[in-house]
Amino acid sequence: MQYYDTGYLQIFFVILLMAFLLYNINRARKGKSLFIRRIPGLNAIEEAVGRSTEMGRPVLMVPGLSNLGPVGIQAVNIFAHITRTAAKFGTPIRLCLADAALFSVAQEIIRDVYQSEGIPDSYDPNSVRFISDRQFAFAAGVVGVILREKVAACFLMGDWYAESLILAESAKEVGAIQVAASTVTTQTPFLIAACDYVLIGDEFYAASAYLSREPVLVGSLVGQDWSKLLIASIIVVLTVQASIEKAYVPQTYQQTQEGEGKIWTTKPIPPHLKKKAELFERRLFYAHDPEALTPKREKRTLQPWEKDESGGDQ
Amino acid sequence: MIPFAQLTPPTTLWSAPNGSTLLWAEIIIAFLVGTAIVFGLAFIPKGLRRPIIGSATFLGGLYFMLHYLWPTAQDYSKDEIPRNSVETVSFWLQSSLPTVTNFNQVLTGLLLGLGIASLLRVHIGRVAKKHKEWPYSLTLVISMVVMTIFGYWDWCSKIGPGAAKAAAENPQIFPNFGWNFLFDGLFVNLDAVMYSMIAFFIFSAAYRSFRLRSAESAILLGTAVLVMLSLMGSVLVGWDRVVDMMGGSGHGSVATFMGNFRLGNIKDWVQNNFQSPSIRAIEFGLAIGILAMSLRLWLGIEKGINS
Repeated sequence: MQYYDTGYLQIFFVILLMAFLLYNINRARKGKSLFIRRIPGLNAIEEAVGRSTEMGRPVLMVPGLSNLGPVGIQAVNIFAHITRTAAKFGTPIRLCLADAALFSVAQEIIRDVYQSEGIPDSYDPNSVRFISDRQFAFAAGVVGVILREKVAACFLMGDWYAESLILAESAKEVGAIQVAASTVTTQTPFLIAACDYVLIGDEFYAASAYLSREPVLVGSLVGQDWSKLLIASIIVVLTVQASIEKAYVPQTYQQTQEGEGKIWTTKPIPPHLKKKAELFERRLFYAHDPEALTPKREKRTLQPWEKDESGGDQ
Repeated sequence: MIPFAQLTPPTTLWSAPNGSTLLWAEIIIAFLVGTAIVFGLAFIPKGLRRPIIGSATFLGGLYFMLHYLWPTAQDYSKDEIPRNSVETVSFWLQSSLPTVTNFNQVLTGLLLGLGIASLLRVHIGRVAKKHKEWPYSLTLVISMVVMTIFGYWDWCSKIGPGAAKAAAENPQIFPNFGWNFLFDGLFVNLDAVMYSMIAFFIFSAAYRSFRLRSAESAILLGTAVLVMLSLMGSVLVGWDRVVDMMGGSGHGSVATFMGNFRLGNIKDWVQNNFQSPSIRAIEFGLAIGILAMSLRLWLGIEKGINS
């Protein structure tokens, strides 16, 4: 049979990482004490909200162009914690979003925060705003909020693209303290240049565990660390192995196919040092070409409605 | 014929032939069922809501997980009969994707409506209360309404047999002109204006970060200057000439050693040995973070900070 190479090794690897995560979540649930290092950007949340309270200006939170996915949900989770802190001090908040689905979820979560704090009347429906789903229209809208309301603290966490620096620099202009995190690595340097604190890489995902110390989240974080250790070890081991194989191990056979549809056979060849494509780890991650279709599939008659895919708009 | 009924693909279990009464009946029934589900969810006990939503999330996640992990049959054609159970599942996964994507689009459309309602609430409220900057809000609301009208009008003029071709041949008609003026003439240019502002922001941010304040900022400054110089043709040529002169002519060991200090080689070394590995390391962390978050959401064990 002929299938796209879906990389069974990769699937196995992903399942292994999932097992690490679930095992550690289970461990943490059983009460095992797990260590999380200090993350300065998250310690700065209270400082930033306190400053806003003193200045009587709002706290601005923006998840970038994140949609309703893991990044967006994580960003809103962190914003919920910030909102809780702000609600305790009676500091106004502004949450600006570029995705309508995430907007609906964020509205509910922020309302829940005020309710759980026992001050549902303090929730302002206009504090959570959908700005625009167009990148620069969104940037222009948020810059407007920053400059008009002169925000004192600015949390930029989520998927950031070219608009990151526009927002960060605008917030700098009004003197806001800024804490940022980007899941898009190309934007991280811009945020480092413009913001006071930056969560780099997976610190963004560590934030909820760090802030809540919830066993499920802490266990998951430790599982992530195990996974990273495994990946780093594999890189080191395979680099050494590839270097040795390339330098010392001769290639003595070759797989060949005698025409389309025929089976692959292994034939001896004059020994030579391996090319890059012949190395062990290369073959491990990239399987050889798939075999041809045998036998051919049978045909069936299409129903009338199955024949036209284009719709009736032309 | 009403335009949006024309655009509905006439193909699946979920739709009827274009413009037919059956299609309208299905739309109305789907709307009523959807509304009933939304209200039903609001009225059921809180304890039941989580398992229902969790099950729907799990099934949705399972579908897309299978879509990525299940062996995908090559040369899939819908007039072929699958040869075995693996292909049967693969065919089903491939053929059902457009329908599942449509569900997603319908939900997104509904939620976009909520987003627009929020936007209008904020800005119409400002206009009504004569807020300090109400003219901006009024501009936004008018722009939104005008853009929607012209967008829909233009779209209507381009559908139907031969209409797209006719609109392309005779684009002077009012809706086409209006849409082009608003979108290409205004919106695209305003977008470009916002984008071009980044150049100035990069300059001010770079100025602040490149100031010599610590050992780290000195390294950053040095590296940045080297990379920037390597992108300037005349500097690159001048630098390399000096390095070549110092190394002497021929292919001796001194010349080979000095070749390492050619500006292009320094830049490549920095990018290949520091920048790329660092970015990859960060991306590994992010990928695992997203895997962990997705797994928690999929299995319904995600605990928000406030739970």
